[in-house]
Amino acid sequence: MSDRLDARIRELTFRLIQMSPEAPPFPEETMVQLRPSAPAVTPPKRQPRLAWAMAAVVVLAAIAVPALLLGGPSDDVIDDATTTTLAGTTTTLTTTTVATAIPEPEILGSLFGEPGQTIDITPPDQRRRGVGYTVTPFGSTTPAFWLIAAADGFDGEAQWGPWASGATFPDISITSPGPDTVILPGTATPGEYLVCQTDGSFCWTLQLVESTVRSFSIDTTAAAPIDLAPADVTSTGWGTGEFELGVSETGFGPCCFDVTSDRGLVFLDAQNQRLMHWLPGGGSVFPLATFQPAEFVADAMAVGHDDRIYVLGMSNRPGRPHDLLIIGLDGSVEGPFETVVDSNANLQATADGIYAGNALVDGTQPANGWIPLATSAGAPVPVADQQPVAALPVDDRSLRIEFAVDGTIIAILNPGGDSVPIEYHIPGEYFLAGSFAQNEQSTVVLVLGTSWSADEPTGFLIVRASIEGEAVVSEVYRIAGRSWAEMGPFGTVRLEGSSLFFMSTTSSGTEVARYELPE
Amino acid sequence: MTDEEIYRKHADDLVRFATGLVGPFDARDVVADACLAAFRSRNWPAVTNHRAYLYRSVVNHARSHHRSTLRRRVRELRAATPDVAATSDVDVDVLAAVNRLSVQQRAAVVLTYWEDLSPAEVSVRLGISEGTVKQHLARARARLKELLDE
Repeated sequence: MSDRLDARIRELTFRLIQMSPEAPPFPEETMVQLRPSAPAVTPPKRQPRLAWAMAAVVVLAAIAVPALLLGGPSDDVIDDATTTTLAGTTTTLTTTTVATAIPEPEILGSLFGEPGQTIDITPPDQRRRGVGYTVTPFGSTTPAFWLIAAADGFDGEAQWGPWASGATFPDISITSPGPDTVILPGTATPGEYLVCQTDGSFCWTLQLVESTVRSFSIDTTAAAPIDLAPADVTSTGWGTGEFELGVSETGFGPCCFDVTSDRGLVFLDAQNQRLMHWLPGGGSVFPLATFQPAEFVADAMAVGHDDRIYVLGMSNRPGRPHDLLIIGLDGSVEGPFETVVDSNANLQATADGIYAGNALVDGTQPANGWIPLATSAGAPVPVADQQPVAALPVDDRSLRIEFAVDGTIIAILNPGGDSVPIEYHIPGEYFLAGSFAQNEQSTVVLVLGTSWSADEPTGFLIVRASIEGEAVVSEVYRIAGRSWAEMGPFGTVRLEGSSLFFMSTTSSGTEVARYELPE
Repeated sequence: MTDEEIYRKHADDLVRFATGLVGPFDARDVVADACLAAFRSRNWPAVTNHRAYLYRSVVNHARSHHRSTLRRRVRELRAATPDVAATSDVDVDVLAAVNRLSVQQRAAVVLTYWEDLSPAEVSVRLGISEGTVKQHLARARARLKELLDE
């Protein structure tokens, strides 16, 4: 299969490249000036390579003494003679004298990045080096920042900080092949810099570009929302029958539901201690699994991208947090597996695995992280590795929800790799009922409740926002209001492709309405 | 070697590469912008591997390029000429497939399947780690598999 897939991808690539146009003429400045959105640019005077080298020498002379006196990267990489020579020239260096004191540093190449970005740097092969670096603006003799690299052989994290007298570096010498990892200074202004080992043995030029987090405010009132009618509604009554859910006496419907890849529905009918699988054609698996309350009380569920069902609940073991069960569509059960989740959680499936967010993540209060419970391969994550992450990974992207002081909801979509993060700001009068990243690089779907009151119907706005050039385009859809008291708080909204599924409970039972977002 | 000579040496490859990243409509613009930015950069005189530098510049410009252009144009093409895939040089289905991938994934795919580079060579060309290349490739393959199996 792998060879066949490779062959098909190769064919696809060839077909794509065959569409390639001819190369444009050599780009002249006038080509830029023809573009209305680009300002007229005077090209900066190019610095000859020697200028970079000389700049590096001056910089290194200015920084080497404090760096070395403060512990330097490693005693192994500095010889005493050099140290002695520099010590007497701290304040009186000239380009000429420095050039004779310090050999021209080796400029290894160019680095690019944004302030705060984590990048890899590859040192020369087998070169003994420290983990300390200086970041100096081009044309300056004084560093503006220091960096400490994360590297094999160094038990420390990448750090950065503003340069100050008294800064120290770990006294370590490493020879691992790299790449080492550094964080570009988060407060640095865009421009050109030199990044040099504190002993001055090698440098990179650094082009720090404008931080390109793009931020957009979505005006949900700018255009009349488009009313959406359900494409279909699946309804059922209360009870324990094949097509029944919940307990009428209490008014509790299923706690949560999810959608399988073939559009089947899976309900965690928690009140009846069972897991229901309704097949897309109208049949059901009755029930897919049952739970003994004395052993396991399920309270959250998600269908993974592997179409297995991940159920989180409490085992009857005092003091122990929730456990995870993994249930196949064939009814097979794996687990329970221990987790660190200790409160009612919202499970979400992404292509990267299964994540649990506690109630705070779900939209009522500031998010505080998602806890990974299973990998993309469906393997349970060991308890020791269940560390909260700020953003919900979505394939190679991530989606983070934050709440500003003014109540504005901020959805931050990182499109993937080192692409530019995009922020969407939603007015504060809405509550967030669901958030999803669609299978496009820069599109998010946010489901917003229009009212939190139990006294009036709650409508829902669905905002699908995507980037078009330098603007954000948001389409706003509206779903007719329902009483919030009739709606379950968790697991009520799921997005599968462009289909949005809403589960709600009514006086007569449970219903799932499917809405199709226009392509 | 002058900038123009360097450009002429690599321009055709860069446009093919850019086509893999943003499609044929905007490949020329992306290459022109990327090269112009590279030539104007004060880093440029210190660059020894011009080819890798320009490839990276193309990726960077492709990333900041109008993200939805390709998607929109595919829609427009389909709407305007339903049989365009059969009659035109523009292969709409291929564009739609490419649109499923991130720019970094596209870059990894083009360099791997078009230029036959190994992950290590792709990592050098794009200035990213080999592990990241493999990650991009794995995810691109997974995405394309979904599409090709449809």
